[in-house]
Amino acid sequence: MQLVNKFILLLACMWSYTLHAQTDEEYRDLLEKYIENTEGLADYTDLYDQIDGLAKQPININKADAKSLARLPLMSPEKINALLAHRQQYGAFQSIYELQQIEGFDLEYIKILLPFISIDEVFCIKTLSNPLFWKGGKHELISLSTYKFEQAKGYTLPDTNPNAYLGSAVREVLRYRGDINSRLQINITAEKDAGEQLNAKAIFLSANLFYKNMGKIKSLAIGDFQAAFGQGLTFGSAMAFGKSPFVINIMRVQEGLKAYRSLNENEFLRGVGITYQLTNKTELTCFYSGKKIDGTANKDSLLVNDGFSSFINTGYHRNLNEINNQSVVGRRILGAHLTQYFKNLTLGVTGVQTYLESALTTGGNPYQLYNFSGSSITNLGLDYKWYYKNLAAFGEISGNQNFKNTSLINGLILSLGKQFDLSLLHRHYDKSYHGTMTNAMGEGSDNKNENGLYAGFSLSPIKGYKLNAYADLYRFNWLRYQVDAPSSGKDYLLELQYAKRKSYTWYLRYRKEVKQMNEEGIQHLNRMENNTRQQMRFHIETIISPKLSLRNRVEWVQYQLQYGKTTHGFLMFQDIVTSPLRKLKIIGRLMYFDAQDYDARLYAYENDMLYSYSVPAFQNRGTRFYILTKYKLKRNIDIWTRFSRTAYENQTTIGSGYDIIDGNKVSELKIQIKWTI
Amino acid sequence: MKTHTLVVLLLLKGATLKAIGHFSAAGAESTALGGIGFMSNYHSSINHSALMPWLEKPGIAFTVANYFGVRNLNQINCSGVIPIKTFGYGFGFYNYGNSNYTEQGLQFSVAHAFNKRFSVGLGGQYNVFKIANYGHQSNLTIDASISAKVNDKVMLAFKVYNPNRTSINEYSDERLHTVYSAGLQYKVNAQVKSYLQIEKVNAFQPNLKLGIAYAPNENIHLRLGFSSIQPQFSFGAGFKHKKLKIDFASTIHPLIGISSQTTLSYAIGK
Repeated sequence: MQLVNKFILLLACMWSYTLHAQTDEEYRDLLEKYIENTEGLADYTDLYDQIDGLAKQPININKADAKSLARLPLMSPEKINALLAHRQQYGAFQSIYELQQIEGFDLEYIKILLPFISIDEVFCIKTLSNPLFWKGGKHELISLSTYKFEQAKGYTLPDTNPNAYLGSAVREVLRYRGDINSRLQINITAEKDAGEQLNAKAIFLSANLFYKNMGKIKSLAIGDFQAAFGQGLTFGSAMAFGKSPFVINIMRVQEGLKAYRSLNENEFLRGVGITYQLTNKTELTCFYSGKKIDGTANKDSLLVNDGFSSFINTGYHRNLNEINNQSVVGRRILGAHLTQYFKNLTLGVTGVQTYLESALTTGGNPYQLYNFSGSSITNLGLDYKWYYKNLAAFGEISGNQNFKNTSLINGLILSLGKQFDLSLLHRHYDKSYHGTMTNAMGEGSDNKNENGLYAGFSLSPIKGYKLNAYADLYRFNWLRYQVDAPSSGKDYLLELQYAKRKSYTWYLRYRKEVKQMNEEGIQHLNRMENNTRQQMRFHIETIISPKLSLRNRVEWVQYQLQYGKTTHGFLMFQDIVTSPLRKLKIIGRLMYFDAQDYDARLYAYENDMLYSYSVPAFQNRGTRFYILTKYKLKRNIDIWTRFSRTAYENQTTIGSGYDIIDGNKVSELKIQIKWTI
Repeated sequence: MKTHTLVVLLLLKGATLKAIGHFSAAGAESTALGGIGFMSNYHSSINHSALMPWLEKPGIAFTVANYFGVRNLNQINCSGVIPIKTFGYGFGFYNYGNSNYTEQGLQFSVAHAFNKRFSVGLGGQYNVFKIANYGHQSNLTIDASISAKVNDKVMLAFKVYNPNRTSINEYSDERLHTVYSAGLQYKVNAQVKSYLQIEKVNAFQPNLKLGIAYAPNENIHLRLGFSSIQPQFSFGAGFKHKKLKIDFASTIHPLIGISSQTTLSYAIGK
């Protein structure tokens, strides 16, 4: 395109710049609500990538069809139909503000949606702000250093001790992301954890080349990548959302192959994958992965490796013991997925074969009776998505061992009017079902030994108010760790949101979960007791001026054992978000927490560097603060700094094992530089 | 050693009483509303200094309080505020106890309103604890507060007192309490205002305070309040005549009895 034309387009787009200028802060609401229930298990970088990927290639609501719109967060069939009907009746959207005229698109929802949509490719500032548009390439280099001031026990031990941390206490991350053009992407990531030595064996290295939309080749991944299909029951290596206050968001819309840029050192694929368009309505994805992962090796009488007993996912290689567990298991995965698109129906077939170089052996405890053991798993699955008027139905059936151990998931999202959306989900995960990598929705993380029924609704009875609620009833048909009998649980959530005015929004949330576990303190004859966790949160956000906004939260937790004690947790914080200078943004938090024990712990999302996210758990009693600054040094250089400090009132040590710190305070400094060319 | 132990125990008891809400908000207006601290008045220099710049005139307030009808449990508070443009400067003094046990404090505070909706306040206190025949201890504490007028009806407030947990003395690790509080004021209509405040004092349970104020006209104020930690109810009234204002408050504890206090305020200048 001629430069003059681009300039004219730039002028035409100036009016909407403020509307479209995006920062990671804008995903904060979305991320927090999605990830806070994952309780530290999530790979947040991966999750951020999913959201950020959508933001970097926003969906053009003037052109998108129902399938594309379904990829947007919280899109119900009613909303999709309403948007399409509006477009059909009134023509193309002239402004994103026009969405407010559609029933169901309230201010809060539009705020969530804004980063991920555009109204016209030609008039989209995202296109213009993307260097690919101007130069044909964008390269991003990020360096992150993290240092904890207080020394953990592992650093104080002599090097001859097998538990001594051999490296420095600094954590270093280096990322390169190169968008060579709009189709080709190269990613390189290197990470040295705190305590690891700076050598090729200890540090984590990841690289990939990802090509998309190259004729009939829809995507090609070479190196490290992710793959996920259907509802994630047969195969899903990427992080996926679980139950959340977005109660109707229960359907997985998987991307198939995806470049890997996260820091989890084990849960990804390393090899090659391709998605090929066989016909206009048929796509075939094939992939192969071969890599060694960490595990606990079994030793025979001659101390020779004899299989292994568990996978290790920490990614730490700080001392001799951890280094000995590094890359002890070779895992090869071969998979394929065939997708057939019909008018309103999408069908998929997935087959995955996993080989382990040495056999996995399970322990002899009764709860481990149905755990996988051996060296080979075959998974076959069939998935579907069907859109009909105000209804979206989806599901997947999957099995291994020639479908002896069959698991299935079926769900429904239904819009019963413009203010009322309903979601239903049933799942049956067989106790003997084994998936190599799964991410289907459920209470447990491994999609096995679980039956459940989930129902949720979202109601907007008055403009500006929204009521979200879900109930999830589930049962584990076999024993689990610390649960010596088949057990059951209930999980309820009720949230009232207010978003009538732009100057402030708030929500009030109540959550109750009842779960059966062994009675505490009984050693031999365990009986089940109901453990009830109740949580109440009030959160308010206020925009004082374009340069200043505040966030306040108060939260209570009560954890009650049926035959035992009751403990409490409390948390309150004040956030100040300010931009005193055009190039400078500061986010500060002061927080007080008081949780009597681990069961009454509380979680709070924290702002962090770009691509770094945390939802730390807080227990015991103390004060925490952090100050995060982002400064734009030059047009292409951004610098972040973050200092945090936690001071406990009732602790003399912090942490456990070889991470233990002698003292009641822990301080951390992070510095990140991003260079973009 | 016994002497030191006794001193520490008594000081702790005094600090505990102060922290758990008996004295956390000065003035009859706050007390009648269950101890809500973010009231905009001349005790703001002690209670919530961020509110000082929003006062229209300088003025002083004097409060006399008695707890549970016990002769020796008396407290006096005296404080004043001078608002100058977008700033507010305040001072305060309190005295609690009798000749055997005394707590005294001197407070200075300053606040700045960044715009018509947001202000920040900082305060410093010099505290002295005296026990007859045993001597005295003194220390310095600080506090910080913010207030935000979300719109014409809603105001938010946040305060932290003693975030650095000042030591009571040099020979032990006993420390004065830290107090965090967050509050919300909602103006129901021209006559009615409602208040909600959550206060957390170290290991104590969170204290939920609720208050409602009704002003049939600009010279008469009727107030009701509730505080969950005791729990206790409170009520009071205020009467204004030109520059002079007098407020009364009583607090009813279900077991210990009734406490009462009176505040006299005077606005200086035109």
